[in-house]
Amino acid sequence: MLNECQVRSRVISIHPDETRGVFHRPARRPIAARGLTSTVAAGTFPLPASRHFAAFVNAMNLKRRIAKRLERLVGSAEPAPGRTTARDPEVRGAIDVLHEGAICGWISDRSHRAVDSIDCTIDGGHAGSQSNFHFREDLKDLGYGDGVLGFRVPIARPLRGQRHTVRIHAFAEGRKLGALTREMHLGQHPVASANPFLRLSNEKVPDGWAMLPDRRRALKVTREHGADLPGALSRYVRLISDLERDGAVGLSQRIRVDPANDHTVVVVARSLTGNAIRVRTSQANGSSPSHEEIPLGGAWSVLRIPYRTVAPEADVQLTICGAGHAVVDLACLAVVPEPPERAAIPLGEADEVPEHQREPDPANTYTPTTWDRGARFAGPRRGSELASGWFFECTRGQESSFEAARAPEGMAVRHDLSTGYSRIAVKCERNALLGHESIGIAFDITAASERGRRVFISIIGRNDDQSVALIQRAVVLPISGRAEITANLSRGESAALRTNASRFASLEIALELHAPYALEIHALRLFGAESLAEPGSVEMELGDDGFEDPIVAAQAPSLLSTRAVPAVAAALHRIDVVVPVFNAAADVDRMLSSLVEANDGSYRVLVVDDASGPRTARILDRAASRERWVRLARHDDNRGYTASINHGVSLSGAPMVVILNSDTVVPHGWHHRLLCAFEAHPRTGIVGPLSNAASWQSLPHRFSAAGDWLVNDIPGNLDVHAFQRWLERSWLPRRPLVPLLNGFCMAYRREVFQDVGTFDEDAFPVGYGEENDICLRAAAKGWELRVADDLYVYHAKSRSFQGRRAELTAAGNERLREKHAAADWPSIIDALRHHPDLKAIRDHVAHAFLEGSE
Amino acid sequence: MKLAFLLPARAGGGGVHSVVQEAAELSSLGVDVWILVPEKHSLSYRTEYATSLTRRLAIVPYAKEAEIAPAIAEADVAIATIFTSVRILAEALEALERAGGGSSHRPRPAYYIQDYEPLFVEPGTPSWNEARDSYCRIPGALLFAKTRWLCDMVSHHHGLRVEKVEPSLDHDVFYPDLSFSPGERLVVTAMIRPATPRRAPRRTARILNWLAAEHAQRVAVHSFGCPRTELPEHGIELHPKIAHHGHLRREQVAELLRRSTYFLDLSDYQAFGRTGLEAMACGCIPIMPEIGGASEFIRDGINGFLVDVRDEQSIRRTLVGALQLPAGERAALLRAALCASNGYSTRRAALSEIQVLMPRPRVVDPLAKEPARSST
Repeated sequence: MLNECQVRSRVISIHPDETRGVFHRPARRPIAARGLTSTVAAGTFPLPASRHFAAFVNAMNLKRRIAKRLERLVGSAEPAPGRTTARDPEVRGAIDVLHEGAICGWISDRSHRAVDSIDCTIDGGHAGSQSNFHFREDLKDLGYGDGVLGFRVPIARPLRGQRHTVRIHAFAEGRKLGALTREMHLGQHPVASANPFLRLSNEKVPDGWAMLPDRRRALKVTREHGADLPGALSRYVRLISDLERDGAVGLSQRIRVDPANDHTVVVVARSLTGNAIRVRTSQANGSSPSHEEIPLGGAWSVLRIPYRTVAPEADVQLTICGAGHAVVDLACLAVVPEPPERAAIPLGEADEVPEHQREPDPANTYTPTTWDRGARFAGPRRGSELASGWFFECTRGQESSFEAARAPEGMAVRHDLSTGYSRIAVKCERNALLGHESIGIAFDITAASERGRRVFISIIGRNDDQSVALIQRAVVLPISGRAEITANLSRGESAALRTNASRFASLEIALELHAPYALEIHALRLFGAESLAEPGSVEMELGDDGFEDPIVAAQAPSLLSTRAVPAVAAALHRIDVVVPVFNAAADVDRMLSSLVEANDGSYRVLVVDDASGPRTARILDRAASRERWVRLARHDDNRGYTASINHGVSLSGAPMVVILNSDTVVPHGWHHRLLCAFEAHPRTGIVGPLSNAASWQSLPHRFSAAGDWLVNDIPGNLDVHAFQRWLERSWLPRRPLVPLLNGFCMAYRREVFQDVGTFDEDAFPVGYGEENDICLRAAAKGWELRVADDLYVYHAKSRSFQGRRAELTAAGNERLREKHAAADWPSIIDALRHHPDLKAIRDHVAHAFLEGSE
Repeated sequence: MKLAFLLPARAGGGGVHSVVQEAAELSSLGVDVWILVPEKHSLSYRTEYATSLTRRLAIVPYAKEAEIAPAIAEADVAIATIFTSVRILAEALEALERAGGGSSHRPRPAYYIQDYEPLFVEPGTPSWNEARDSYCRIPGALLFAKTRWLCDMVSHHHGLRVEKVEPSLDHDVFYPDLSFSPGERLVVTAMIRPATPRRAPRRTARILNWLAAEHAQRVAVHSFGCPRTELPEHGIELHPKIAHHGHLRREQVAELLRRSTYFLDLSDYQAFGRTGLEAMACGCIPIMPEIGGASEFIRDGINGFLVDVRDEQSIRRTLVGALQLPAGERAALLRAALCASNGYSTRRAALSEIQVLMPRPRVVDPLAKEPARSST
């Protein structure tokens, strides 16, 4: 009596020739040994139940297990298009690569357990054998047993011709299980990979790296955790290749190095396929190439390759050696300066030879180099164990910006959040702290921070429901490089710690850091510090960056800049006002009065008296003697306006220099308005205000009925201060960009003079064109010219040369056009004439004062 | 006089309380005050300030920002109180302008600057831009602030005139208990607000931990400001000898300060430092950051201490010095602190605000100089 069990053929398909009478199982549990001798055909089980019921039940259980497993596997393992490997129903696998040295691929029986050796034939002749298999993670990922199914058979004889038939015979305990067959072209790979699970992609090449040209079809780059590769802080990147050529695939990167130091190329890598990697470094100019081939095992290795620096740029290439399927995980490829001598943070005079720099006591040294529970860096959460005994904590909600990775000697951590906080805590033996009268704590780290940052070392006691800080110390990270940062507890603190420690189930030593930071942690060491001076604090002197809130720290200059306002101290000399004077005593007196009234200590005035008459000279002398911030320089003979302002500029060292005519009146706060324009627009080089008489910057009108430049009254019959107040409260500044500015009051960023030089005394000895000349020169260098349309400075206009103004203007214009013959004057004039923002402010004033609507 | 304060925040915070307290005083002086609050927060205001609300002090809830324009239309002055409310106020004023109508009455815009708020947000972000631009967002707005430091900050960075008003202090809640004797152990109290980094919670905790560990014989350490469970969430652990009181109401804070010798505020900066002033009124000597506006009421070494919070060694030195003060000198500091706090009141604050907010004569100033005339 036969029972027929219908079984889905896709689940079990066993080759009748190869498997008759034997239901293949792993060698450890052969079905034949249990008496199962029935013929097993595809899809049916003819089995006499009365005689072999037990065997039948066993077989059914086995079938169910296999069916379950294969159902999971086969669905995602459809053959790749164009695949030519002949499939044996009992064994499955693929012959991926044939080349002049090896045949690569994978092979398995249905249970992924039985195949223990393979024979390889090419065109019917024996080509090689192999009895050990390598791990392929892609197969394991797909559920093919433990993934140890890959083969790479060296070919013992030379191949002739291009087309070959390759057959791989699988054996279990000397018994042949089946075979794979494939027609292959030597040296011609039909597709980039015969591995159906390998999707070629270069999408995940780490930032800063390039795949080597013409080889990207054969390299799959996966980033296990999405981190960047450069530097020592990345997580690992997986490179998978399936090429026939040795050294065919890899990554390259151009890096900058300090030519003053020699460097070390640090590679942290492993290979799951037993491949070697080749690290090739060369100077960017092509000189001094070097390469090193390094065999890799399945465990992570730290490799250090000396690199002699010649040029400031270097090319680093990493390629995978060996043909066939290769999997290389790369955790770090960095070029670092030769490791400096390990140095402790200086502790002061008493600590020139610190006790803790003696041989470390291994019992009290904790290193983040073991991962008993596996390294799991992906998405650390609060409380995650980064390495055995090393834990991560942070403010709730900030976990996503924290990253950790294995580093050459320990663990690399990075927290990118601009305002975050986190803690790396090490669970310590409570008794470790108890053996010394004074206790020292040292973290061996390599800091990647650009400047010294303050961190905290804490000793925390923990019970299930309680955690308390027992002692905390602030220390400063080294600027860069490797160093020990230490905290030394006083005898009193150590005694208190011993007392408190007994109350807690465990003790943790924590390194607390404010983000952003990046560092490698190599070890924590506890040591006796009896010889250290009391009280043992290692807190360093801090500069202006000692704010806790990073947002405040980022704006510290703003916060601190007003500490001296309105006091003179810090703000003094921030602005220099250069005033060239030649007679016009009444104007000069009024101008100086307004400068005195408006000065809150922010500026000093450099008056250049160009041989004025005695009345003006007396006024200047009086001002200079009354106000210590008024400096007076005097010419014995009249050198001219331009020479005077150049003299004034040469006396100034301030970052902002204002050239102010002597026939002006400035309102309160005028200099702040000019400063605001510079601060709001960093590329601004020159700023000028609005005025009653400043050509294109005039308010409310520019031209008289006769077409001359107009000297307006102050609108509304206000004084300059009242009009300025009205302007401040009624107009939101736009600070329009203009091609030229009027020279009666111009504020210059000092860099403009450094960039384009000072005023041209030769071409414009008495002025009238010198300001346009410097405007054009500054604009040509990329500086912006803006009108401070929230500032109004009164200008009496041309008192010094009242009678000769037209003549001087014409002469200046002529020289200007000669000097800047290439300038597009019609466009410049048109831009000024029709400037929409200048028109808007004129309309605003006209609307308020001329149409009676305030 | 009718004032409309725009206060888009929940009741209970220090800044909000400051505004409501001064608004209540203004109303007691005959000024009609409306406080516009989001509808979702209005209940918290009615509950928290139930006893303050009068015929002249009204909480006006708004569900949408569009409702603000009609609500402030009749006010003489509409006052923003935080940078986010400046935009709301500007839009309300623009809406009123668009609506036009026959009435020429428009509320005068004002901004009661509580802090230099670009320091609250990360530079370069849209919020930071909004905070920075808030001071000039409304052309012609009247700006006023309660410390000279704040006025200077805004003037310095934005070139704007900021009127100075007086800070307020509620002596009904914050008063001393001169019968209290601290005994042999002095008491140091500090506020820890873990969620506000500029209040430097970690620095404060470090100093308190150090005090508790090193000077436990001489000093009892107290803290308040947040639930205890909030501390470890921000990575802050306190020494077991520190008594943490969690979140306290104003009256409870006052009671704790009355029992304290020193109040410690180690914020990165303090635009004003209200709790420090309240501590002085309770007979507690404040130790405050020197950066900011606290120097307006604290004279270092006379009625309190100012410290450079960036230098923890100097903080520790200051604390050790304060703890070692002879009792007589400490009593002198305490008396000076009480005297200084006596100069501040809600009445004084309200009157100074009226002074600033009262309508002024129109532009022409009789004392102004003779107009400058130009000659062509």
